[in-house]
Amino acid sequence: MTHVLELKNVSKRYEDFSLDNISFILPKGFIMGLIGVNGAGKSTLLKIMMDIVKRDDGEIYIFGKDTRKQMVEIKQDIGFVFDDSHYYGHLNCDQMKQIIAPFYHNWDEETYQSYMKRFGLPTNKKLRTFSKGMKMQYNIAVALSHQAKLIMMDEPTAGLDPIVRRDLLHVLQEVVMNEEVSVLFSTHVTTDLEKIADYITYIHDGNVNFSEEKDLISETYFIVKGDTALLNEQNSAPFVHIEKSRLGFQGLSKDKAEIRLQFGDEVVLEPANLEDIMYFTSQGHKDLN
Amino acid sequence: MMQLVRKDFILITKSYLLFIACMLFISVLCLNLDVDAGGIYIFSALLAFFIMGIGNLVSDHEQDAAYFLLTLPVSRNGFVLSKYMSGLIVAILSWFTTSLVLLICLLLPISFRFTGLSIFLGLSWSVGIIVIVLSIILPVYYAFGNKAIRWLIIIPLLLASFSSQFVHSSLFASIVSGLSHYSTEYVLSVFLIISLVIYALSCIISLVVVSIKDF
Amino acid sequence: MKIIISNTNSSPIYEQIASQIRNQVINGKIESGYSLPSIRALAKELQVSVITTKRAYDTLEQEGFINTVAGKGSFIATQDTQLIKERKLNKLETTIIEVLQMAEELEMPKEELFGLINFLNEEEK
Repeated sequence: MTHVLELKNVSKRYEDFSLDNISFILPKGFIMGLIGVNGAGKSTLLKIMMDIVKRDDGEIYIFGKDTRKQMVEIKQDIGFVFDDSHYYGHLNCDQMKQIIAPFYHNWDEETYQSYMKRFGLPTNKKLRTFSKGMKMQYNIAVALSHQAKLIMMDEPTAGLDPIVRRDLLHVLQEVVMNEEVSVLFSTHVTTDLEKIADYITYIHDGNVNFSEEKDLISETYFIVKGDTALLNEQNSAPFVHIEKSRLGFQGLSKDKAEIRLQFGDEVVLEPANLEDIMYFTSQGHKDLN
Repeated sequence: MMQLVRKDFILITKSYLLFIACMLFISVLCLNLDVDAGGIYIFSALLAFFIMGIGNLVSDHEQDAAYFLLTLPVSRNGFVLSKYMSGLIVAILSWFTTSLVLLICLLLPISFRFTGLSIFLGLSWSVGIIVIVLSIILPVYYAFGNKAIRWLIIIPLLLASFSSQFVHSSLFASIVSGLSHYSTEYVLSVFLIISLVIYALSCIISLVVVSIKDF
Repeated sequence: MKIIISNTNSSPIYEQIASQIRNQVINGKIESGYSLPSIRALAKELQVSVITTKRAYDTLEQEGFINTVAGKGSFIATQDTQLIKERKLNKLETTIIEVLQMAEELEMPKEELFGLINFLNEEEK
C-alpha cells in the first residue's frame, strides 16, 4: 500500500453548491496542500473524508481501507486539526486531554508533554482564554500525540502570526521525517505552507483543477507579460485568463510552446506561483460565466 | 463508546455537586412540612434534568463539539448511544443521590414519611420523567441542533404545570380509581417499563437521524 | 557543505540545490565519501519539500556526483576532479569564442567588450 489517501469521484450536492467528481491520491510520507479560494469546498471535502459530512457518491480509501466500512479504525490513525477550536472552552488542557486520551490505543503521554512544553502552553488555564495561536498549538499537540499516520489540517495557519506559522512548518517537517507519516492541509492563503508541500491539489468551484507535484506545477504554468497590442482573438486561446492595462497585459498559460509560436520573443515568460494560478483561474472562470 | 460516556461525566462533575447541594438544602427545607418523601423525587428529577441533562447537551452543541467528537475514533452510532446511556445514568444517579440525601435526612430531627415504597416511587418517577423528557429532546436536538432545544426545555415545565392541573381533574380521579384495582408497585413498574420503551424508540429515531446527518 | 536557497532566483529550487552541491564537489570543498544528509533531513533544514530535495539528489546521482546506498544514505562519489575541471574549462572557451564572434558581428571594439564584461561583473556582485 503506497497511497495513504485515495479519493475516487467523490461528489456532494447542496442546493447552492456542489463538489463534483473529486479524485486525487496522496502517496505515503508526503505533504499535500489543498488550496482554493474561500468557499471552494475545501472544508467540506475534509469533513467528507472524516465522515462528518456524508458524501452522495464516490469512494474514499485511507490507509488502503474503505472509509464506509472501517472509519472508526481509520480515525485511530488520523490527527485532525481544526480551523477553529471546537474543544470545551471551560476546561483546561489537562482536563481536555483526560477526555481525549482514552479514545486512542496509541496515546503517547510523553509526546504530548513534550509538545506542551515546546509550545509553552499553560496546563491550568481554561482553553477559552487561549489566543488563536495557542488554541491551534494545543490542537496540534493533541493531534500529534497518538502516533497518527495521517495529519489532516483545516486552514491551520489562517489568522496566525508569522512566528507561530513558521514554527508550525518546523513541526510538520519533523513529523514527516518519519516516512510513515503524511500530511494533508487546506489553505486559502498560499504563503509559507506551500513551501514544504510536495503535492498541491487545487480545488476550484467544487472541482479539482489539478492535483500535481508542486515542482511540476511551477514548471507548467507561466505568467506571460507583453504589449497589449500583440493580442488578438486567435492568439488569446492558450491563455487561462488575460488581464489588460494601458501599460501591457499579463496572462496565465501552461502552453509554453504555443506562446512562443504565437509571440516569439516579444513577450516575457515568468514562472507562475500558486497565488497567480489561483487568481487567474478564478478570473478565467468568471470570463466563461 | 464508553469514552464518550466518561466524557459526559467529566463535563457534568460540577453540575452534579451543585445538584447534591440543592437537594440537601431543599430536603431539609421541605421535609418538615410533613410530606411524603416520594414527592421530593419528582422535584429532584426535574432539577437533575435542568442542572445535568441540559448542561451536558448544550455544552456539546453550542461549542460545535459534535464536529470535534466525530473526528475521534467513534462511530456515529456510538456517538448517539453514548448520549442515551449518559441520560439513563443521569436519571439513575439523580434517584440514587436523592435517596442518599433522604437517608441522611432520616438522621436529622425532622419528620417525614419515608418507606421502601417511597424509594421505588422515586425510582420510577426520577427515571421515568428524565427518560421521557430526553426521549423528546434528543431526536429533536440531533435533527435540528441546539436552537430547537432552547424551546424544548420548557417541556418539563409544561409537563409539571400540566400534571399539577391534571391531578385535580375528574379524569385523573377516574384513572386513579381504575388503577386502584392494581397495587401501586404494579402501576409504577408499568410506568417505568413504558418510559424505557419510549426511550428505546427515541434512541432508534436518533440513530437513524444521525446516520444520515451532515455535521 | 553549504546550500543557500534564493526564492528570487529564477532557476528551480532543485536545480539550485543540485548546482551548489555540484560546484562544491568540483571545487574540492566536499570530498568523495562525504555522507550527505538524508532527503528528508535536507528538506527540513532548507524548508523545502521532500520531492524537491529528492529530485536534486536524483539529478546528482544521474550525473555521477553522488551514490545512494539503500538503507545507508547518499554519499559523494569518487570524482576525477581534474577531468571535470577540464571539461568546464573547455565549455568556457567555447562560450568565449562565441562571444568574440558576436562582438565581431556587431563591430564592437575589444575595449568596449571588456568594458561590458567588467560592467556585468560588477552588476552580478
